[in-house]
Amino acid sequence: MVWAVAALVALLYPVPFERSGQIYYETVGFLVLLNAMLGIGWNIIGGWAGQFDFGPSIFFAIGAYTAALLSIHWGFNAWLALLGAVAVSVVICAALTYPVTRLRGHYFAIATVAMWMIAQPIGATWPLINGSQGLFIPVAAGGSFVHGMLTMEFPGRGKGLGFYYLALLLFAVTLLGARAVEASKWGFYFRAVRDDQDGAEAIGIDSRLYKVIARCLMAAIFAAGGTLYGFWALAVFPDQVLEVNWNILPMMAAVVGGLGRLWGPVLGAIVLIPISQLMTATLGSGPLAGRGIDLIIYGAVIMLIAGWRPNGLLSLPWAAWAARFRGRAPASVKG
Amino acid sequence: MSRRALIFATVGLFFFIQNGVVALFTSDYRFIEGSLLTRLSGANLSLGGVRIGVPLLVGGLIALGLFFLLYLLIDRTDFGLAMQATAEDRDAAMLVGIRPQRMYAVAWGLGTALVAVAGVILANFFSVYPQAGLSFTVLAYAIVALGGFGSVLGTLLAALLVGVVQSVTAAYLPPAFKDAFVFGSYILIGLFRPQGLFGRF
Repeated sequence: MVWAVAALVALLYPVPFERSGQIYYETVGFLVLLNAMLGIGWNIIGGWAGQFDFGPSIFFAIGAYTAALLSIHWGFNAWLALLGAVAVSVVICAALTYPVTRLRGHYFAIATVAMWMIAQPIGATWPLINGSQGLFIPVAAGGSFVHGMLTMEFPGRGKGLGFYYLALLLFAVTLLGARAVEASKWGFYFRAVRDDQDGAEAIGIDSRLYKVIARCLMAAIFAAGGTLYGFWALAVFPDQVLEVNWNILPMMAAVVGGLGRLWGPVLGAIVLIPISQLMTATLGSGPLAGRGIDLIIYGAVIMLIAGWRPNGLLSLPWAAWAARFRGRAPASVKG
Repeated sequence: MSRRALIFATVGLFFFIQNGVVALFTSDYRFIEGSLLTRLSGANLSLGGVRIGVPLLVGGLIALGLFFLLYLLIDRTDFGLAMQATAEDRDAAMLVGIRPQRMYAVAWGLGTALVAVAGVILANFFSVYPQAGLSFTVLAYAIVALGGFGSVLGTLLAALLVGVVQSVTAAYLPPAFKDAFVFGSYILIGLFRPQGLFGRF
């Protein structure tokens, strides 16, 4: 029942903004869905497999650049470009990750940071992707909503609405896919590696293989997100797609919402992204603008969650509260 | 607080403090004037044909001295022994009467103090702005991982190695790749020695 309501809200969310002309909030919704999707991807390697990846944005960038190159040089349709981006990203991820799975815990995390740091000068100087001058994605003017959905092109006024629904579609696919993985054998193997790697290996689970699989799933999702972002921004610059925000936000969304829980990153994204946008909107160009107040609040929220509810907001006793609200006794003794 | 929660708490603290500084002092670049090290600038020491700038030398010696003191604390005192015990097996340490919370608090405070000293020394050579710490932080992660978690000597050796790699690659490769080479070396060494040079964990 709750899911039906949530799906309805998500589908109808842009309607009031379309009618009042406040398209900006549709873009906020787009960013929330994009980060929620990336958060679900990060959750696979970070929450389920327990290996913290602090540099996932390299796959975001690989996805964006591959899609841009396919679209510009070979005229690929946006969705085919997305598939190509996902394929390239997964292959590169597998090649990069397998050797590094020898490293455990903190060492692995720092290796992922190292990869991100190596990617930055490559992105800024590689002639194939035009270095720091970026790639520009050509877009045809006009076109109906349906045409836009098929080609990810929404020039003009329909952009906020169109990309919101594109993001919703990709987010839904990611969510259903993640749910399937969570309940599958892979999901169990990931969690086994997280909880007790030596024990898992003792019963024959190849921890290196499943770490690679988990990271490749994340790479696929980040590549799809990168493609979507590339077509939204209409240009791919190394500074933008390798930005530290794409590393941190999905991870923070997962942590704040509930690390290892399917809906955790979704809740986290819904909480975190609007804070930043709200700050930008209310502080505008006043004396406190550009002073990073939104990030101060981010920091405070993260510290609060880490100290008070390290299992994320999803671990709060929602069911008990709902039961008490309805006037019935809660199902379990724990309040 | 579990280890995982601690990591995220420190990330939150990073956002909080860095942007708190931005809010209080703006992102303007500032410079130090009139300190001891800046007054010494220009002075050079010649050692067998190699010219070394005195401010850098003094800064390096201060850091080296602190390394030595830290090594003495961790390796030669009972308190250091207690800290190592807590790092190795927290529950066993509790059983012999060590309070892990106190160890964590002191370790954290000590680490922060040392970083602060490094910041003061570096402020003489680099401009001061809120995001100044980020590049050094990421490099520090790689250095500690290279040296091995839990080893002071390892960190020193790794730091020297990284410094050498940085300088050599800056001379022969495009400067944008200076840090990338350091991280590449870390990954390469990590493949053959996953626990770093002298890592105990």
